[in-house]
Amino acid sequence: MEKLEETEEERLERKRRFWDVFTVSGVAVSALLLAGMVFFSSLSGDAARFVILGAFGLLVLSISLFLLLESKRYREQNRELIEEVTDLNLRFGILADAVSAVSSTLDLQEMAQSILGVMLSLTGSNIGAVLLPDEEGRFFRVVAQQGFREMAVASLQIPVDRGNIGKVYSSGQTMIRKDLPTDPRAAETYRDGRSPSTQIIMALRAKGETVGVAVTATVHPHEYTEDELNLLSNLCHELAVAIINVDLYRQSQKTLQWLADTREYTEHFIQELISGVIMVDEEGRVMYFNREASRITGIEPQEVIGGDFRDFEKRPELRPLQPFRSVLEQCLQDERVFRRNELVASNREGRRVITSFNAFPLHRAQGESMGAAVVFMDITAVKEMEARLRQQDHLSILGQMAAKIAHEVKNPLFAVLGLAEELKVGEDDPERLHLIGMIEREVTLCNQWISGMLSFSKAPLTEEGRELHSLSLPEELHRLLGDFVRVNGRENLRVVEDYQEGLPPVKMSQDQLRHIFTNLFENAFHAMPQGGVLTVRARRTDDGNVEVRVEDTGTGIRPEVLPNIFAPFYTTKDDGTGLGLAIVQKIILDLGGSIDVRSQVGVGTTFVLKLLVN
Amino acid sequence: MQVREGMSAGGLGNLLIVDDNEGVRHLVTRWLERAGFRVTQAKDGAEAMEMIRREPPDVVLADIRMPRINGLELARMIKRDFPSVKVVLMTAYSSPQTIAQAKREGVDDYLEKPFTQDQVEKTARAVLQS
Repeated sequence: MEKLEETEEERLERKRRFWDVFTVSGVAVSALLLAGMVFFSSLSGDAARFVILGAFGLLVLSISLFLLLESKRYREQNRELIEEVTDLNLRFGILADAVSAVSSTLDLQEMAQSILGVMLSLTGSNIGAVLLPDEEGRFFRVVAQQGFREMAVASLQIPVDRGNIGKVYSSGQTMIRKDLPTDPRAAETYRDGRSPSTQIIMALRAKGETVGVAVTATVHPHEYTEDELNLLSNLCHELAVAIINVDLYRQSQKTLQWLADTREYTEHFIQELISGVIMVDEEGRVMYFNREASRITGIEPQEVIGGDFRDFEKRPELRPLQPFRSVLEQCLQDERVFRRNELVASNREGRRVITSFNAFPLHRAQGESMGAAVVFMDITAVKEMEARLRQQDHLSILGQMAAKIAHEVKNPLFAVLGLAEELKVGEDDPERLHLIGMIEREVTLCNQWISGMLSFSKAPLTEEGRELHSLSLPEELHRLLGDFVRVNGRENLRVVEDYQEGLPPVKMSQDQLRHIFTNLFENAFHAMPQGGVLTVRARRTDDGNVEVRVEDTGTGIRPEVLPNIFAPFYTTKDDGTGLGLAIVQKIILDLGGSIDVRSQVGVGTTFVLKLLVN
Repeated sequence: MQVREGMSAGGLGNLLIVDDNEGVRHLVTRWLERAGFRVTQAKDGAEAMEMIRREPPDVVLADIRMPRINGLELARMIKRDFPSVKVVLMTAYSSPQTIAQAKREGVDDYLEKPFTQDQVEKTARAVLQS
C-alpha cells in the first residue's frame, strides 16, 4: 500500500512545467545530437556511422516530438474535460435556480454518473463509484457507479468512519492501492467478474469540506501519472462543488417550498377566516380582501384588490368600506393600533352593519413598514340580540312591577267595589244610590286600566306552555284583515295583500297572531285619517323564516318619537294606554322573532316583523 | 295528625277566610254568612294555621299573595297536616305557573278577583260536596 500526499496545485504546476522543459529540452538535445553527428560524420567520412547515428538521432527527435505533442494533447483534453464539468456545474446551477419539477436527486445522480464516466475513461478504468454519506452520516450510499453488479451495490454497507474509504473520507487524503489480492467474490461483485488490481480512492473536497468519496479501479496494474492524479483531483473538486450546490439547491428548494406552503397556508387561512380581513401594502394598495370581508360588506374582492384604499371614498360603490379608510390611514401613517373597537358601516344593500375590529400596522422582520390590516367581525346580530335581551329584561322587570302594583291595587279595589255593592243592599235613598253607583263606575274604570296593564305583565299571550300552532300566514292574515275591515273599514281606506307563494307556516297561537296584527292594523288605520292604503306583505327570508310587512301611507312617525314607540306606557294618542306596541313587541320577542319600524313623516310607516318558522 | 270534624250543626259548613286586606275579608265574610256558612277570619297564613290547629274548618279560602306565609305555602301546610280540609285560593292576579303550582299543592279550586257573591258561594258549595 502506498500513500501519496495530496498534490497541491503549485507542485503540480511546477511538475507540469518541469516536464514541458524536459520534453522541449529533449527535442533540442536530440536536434543538437543529430546536427553534431551529421557534422562529425561529414568530417570523418564514415558513411555507415553517419547513417546509424543519424537514424538514432531522428528516433530521439521523433520520440521527443511525440512526447511534446502528447503532453499538449493531454492538457488540451484535460481542459476540455474541466470545461465540460464546469459546464455541467453551470447547467446545474441554472437548474438549481429554476423551480424545476424534476427531482434534484436525479440531477445529482446524473451529474455524478457523468463525472465518474469521465474519470474512468481518463484513467482507463472500468470500475468506479461515487459515494456520499447518508442522511444519518453512518453509511455511504452509492450515487453513481460503473462496473459493479447492481445487486452488489444494493447490499453494500460501507461505514463512513471505517476502512480505507472511511479513512480517505475523514482525512481528505487520496489513497492509491496497488497489487490488490484477488477478490474471492469478484464474480458476484463486478460486472465482468474480474477483480481489480489497482484502486484509487479520492475525497470529494470543496470549500474546505469533504462531501464524499470517489473510487476508481483498474483490473490491470496501473501507474497513475501526475497528470492523471491532477485531473482526477480536479474532477473530484468539481464534483464536490456540484454536490454542495445540489445541497444548497435542495435546501433553498425546501425553504422555497416552505415559504410557498406558508404563503399558501396563510392565504388559505386568511381566506377561510370567519373574520373579514382587509390588508393593504405600504403604498396603500389592497392586497387581501377575504371572503368574509366580502360577505359582510357585499363588495367583491376583485372590486378592491390592487386598488388604493384611499379611493374608497371616491368610489360610491365602495361606500360600505369608507369607515375602514380612516382606520387604515391611521394604522399606516401614525402606526396606530386598534383593539376591539366598534365601527358602524352599512353593506351594499344599506343594511346597518356593526363590526368589531382590530387594526394594526404590519412590519417586516427588519421592522420596516409593509402595510396595515383590519380584521373585523360582523357583530350586528350580537348587538341586536343584546338590545333585545336588554329590552326583554326591561319588559320583564316592568312586567313584574306592573303585576305587583296591579295586584296591590286590584285587591283593595275588589273590596271597594264589593263593599259599595253591599251599601246598596236595603238602601232606598236615590241620592245615596247614585253616589254608590259613581263609586262603582270609578272603581270599574280603575280596574279596566289595571287589567290593561296586567295584560302586559301577565302577558296572557306569551304564557309558557301556551299551545303554539303552525299557522299559515296568508290564510290567517287574510281572514283577520277581512274581519278587521268589516268592523273598522272606511271608504277612503284600501287594503292590499301580497303574500309569497309557498310560505312555510309560522309557530304561534291564534290569539297571539290576532293580538299582534289587530294592533298593527289599528295603528295603520289610525295613521290614515285622510285615507290611504294598508299593505300587508309576507315573504320568506334568506334564513328560511318569514317576514311580514305592515305598511301604511299615513302621517308617519316623527323621528324623535320613533325610538319610543315600543316603550311601555308611551303613547301619542289621547286615549292610548301606551301598551299596544309594547305588548306586540313582547309577544314577538318571546316567540324569538323581531319587530322593526321604518317611518317617514308624510309618507307612511312600515312595520317589519320577522317570525320564526320553528 | 288528622282531624276530621263534622259540619257544624245548622250550618252549610265551616269556612275560614284568609286575606291580609281587611275590606276583602269583611266583604267575603258578609257574602258567605248571608249564604248560610259559618265563617271565621285570619289576616295571614300564620294566624290561619293557628286557627286550623285549634279547630279545623271544612274549607279555607285564602289569598295567594300575603305577607310571611303566602297562600301557596299555607295550602301546602294544610294539605300536609289536614288533608281533608278543602282549600280555595283567591287572587287578583296570578301567572299560569302559580296556578299550576297551586294544582300540584292539591288546591281544590281557584277564584280570580273580582268575583261576585254568587261565584264564591257556588265555589264553596262545590268544594264542600266534592
